[in-house]
Amino acid sequence: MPNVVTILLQDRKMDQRRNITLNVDNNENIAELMKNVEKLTNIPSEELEVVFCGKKLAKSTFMKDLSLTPATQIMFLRPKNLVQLTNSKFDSNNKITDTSILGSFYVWCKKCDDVQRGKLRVYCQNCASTSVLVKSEPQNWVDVLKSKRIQVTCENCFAPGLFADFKFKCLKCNDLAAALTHVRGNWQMTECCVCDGKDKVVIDLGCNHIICQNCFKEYLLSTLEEFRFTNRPPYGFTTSCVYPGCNRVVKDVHHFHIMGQSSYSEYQRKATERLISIDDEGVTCPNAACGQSFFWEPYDDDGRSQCPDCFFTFCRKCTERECTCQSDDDLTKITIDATTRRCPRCNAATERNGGCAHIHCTSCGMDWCFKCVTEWKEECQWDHWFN
Amino acid sequence: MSNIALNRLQRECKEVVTNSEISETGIMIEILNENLTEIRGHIRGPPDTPYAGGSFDLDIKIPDQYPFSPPNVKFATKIWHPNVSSQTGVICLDILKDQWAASLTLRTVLLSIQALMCTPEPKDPQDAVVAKQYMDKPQVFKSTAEFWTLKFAKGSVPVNVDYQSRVDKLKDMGVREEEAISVLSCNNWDLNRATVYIFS
Repeated sequence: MPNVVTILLQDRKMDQRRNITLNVDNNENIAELMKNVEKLTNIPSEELEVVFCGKKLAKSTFMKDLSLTPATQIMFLRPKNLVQLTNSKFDSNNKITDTSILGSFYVWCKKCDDVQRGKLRVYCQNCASTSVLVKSEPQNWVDVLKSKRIQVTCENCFAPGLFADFKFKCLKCNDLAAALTHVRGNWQMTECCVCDGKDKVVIDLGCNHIICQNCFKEYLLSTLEEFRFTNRPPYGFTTSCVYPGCNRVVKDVHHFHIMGQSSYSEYQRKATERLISIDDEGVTCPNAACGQSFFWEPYDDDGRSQCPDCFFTFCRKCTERECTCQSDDDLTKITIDATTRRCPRCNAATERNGGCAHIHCTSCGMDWCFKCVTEWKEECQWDHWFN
Repeated sequence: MSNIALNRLQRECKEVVTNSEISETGIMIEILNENLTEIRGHIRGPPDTPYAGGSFDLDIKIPDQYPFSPPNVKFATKIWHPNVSSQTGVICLDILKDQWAASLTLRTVLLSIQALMCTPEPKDPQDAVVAKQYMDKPQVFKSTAEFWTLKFAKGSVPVNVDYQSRVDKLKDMGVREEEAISVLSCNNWDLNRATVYIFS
């Protein structure tokens, strides 16, 4: 299959740079591409180095393994002193271009609205050029997800002390996409621990308890229905592995996109509401048509806030436009005092509408005593289980 | 019910409805309706417990969100156990509540309940009265649980003549047998206190 590639030729020997557009066959390898460039430029291919994704490519690499699009730029470098680069330790090491289904990594592509195979691209953090060579290869997800982990040299701007800027793209549509660190190929063909199916692409929270995408989606949707997501800083409102007793959690909320866009929006809205409700300085607009959540400023406070969205002004305590806190509605106050508490760990507003004093917080998972408002103890069990 | 749930349940039912399962573990299930939302579970009382020889039935209701929500399981057969309500049969077992996990199955649930029958957990009781008796008067608890197994779960231990005579006395006063057993059990078989409780 023919393809167009853009080549940036950096000729250090002649101190020149030029762009070349070439038609290439995906079944060709780098050696053949170099011959083609030699024909066009009269630069002997022995003097050229091919740099892509931060690494020098081996001559045997096939074009089809590079996941190229017409917008992809490959750098051809003609160094002043050839010896330097040929000593590069990345000579034949080409892990990044391994894109088989099982070995690939996966991304959430907004444009495709789906989980797709992904590709990793590396840019210069300073000039955003692709003309970079990594000094060490990324070893794990953290190396590519966090900034300032992998040092590079840039053949475009030559700035000192540069770091790599990694970006993930969708292999299908080439758009930027979010890496899904828990999605992986099922290379051992392990059974889904919910449905026993053997899917090729599965979710693994790092505990090897495999769940297929379909079951994972159903699991998330059922978790969303009663909002059983729990707040686990620093990950936010998340959920744990479906295996009994396994406490691994989904560490990146991008995985919740698997639920579909409308459910994901609902997740975001409910998580925000929940977070606002457990924050003393958070408030949700009582205007039924609005429902916006926001944080009020603690200074210069008269107990009233104005919603930044619909400009409704209200008393934060009674949520009324004209404050009714001072009125003599004792019964309401007594009822609220008798039936509601806040979770001693996460501050979640909690109503007890029956049952014993043993409260299990659905927001943070703490077991606490409605009477003591502290952690549930054996004494609570014996002394005031039923008040 | 979702496809995942249906496929899962069909597989689970096959898993439990095998002869070897019944002979080895003494658990069994019976499907009550076509769409698999109502299932009857059976557990044979484990040996060397007050439930030995008894045959216990459980009502299992499958929620729409199964297997991501736990099945609703309660004893249909009355049982005297600290973690089971002696009135309603509701079971206090972590895996049926917040410790439920989608990879658990009806088989593991029934086996867990069977294990709970072997080792009650009085520190997390469902029935406070039973739990207190279990802690304070273990002998009374044992004979009461045996009496219940005999009466409600077709157990085969010899009847406790002493207990039976007290039940009969209450029956003579017009109390239903089931209520008589329940109230006497809750009052550590003190006939006077049971009488006062019923008639006051």
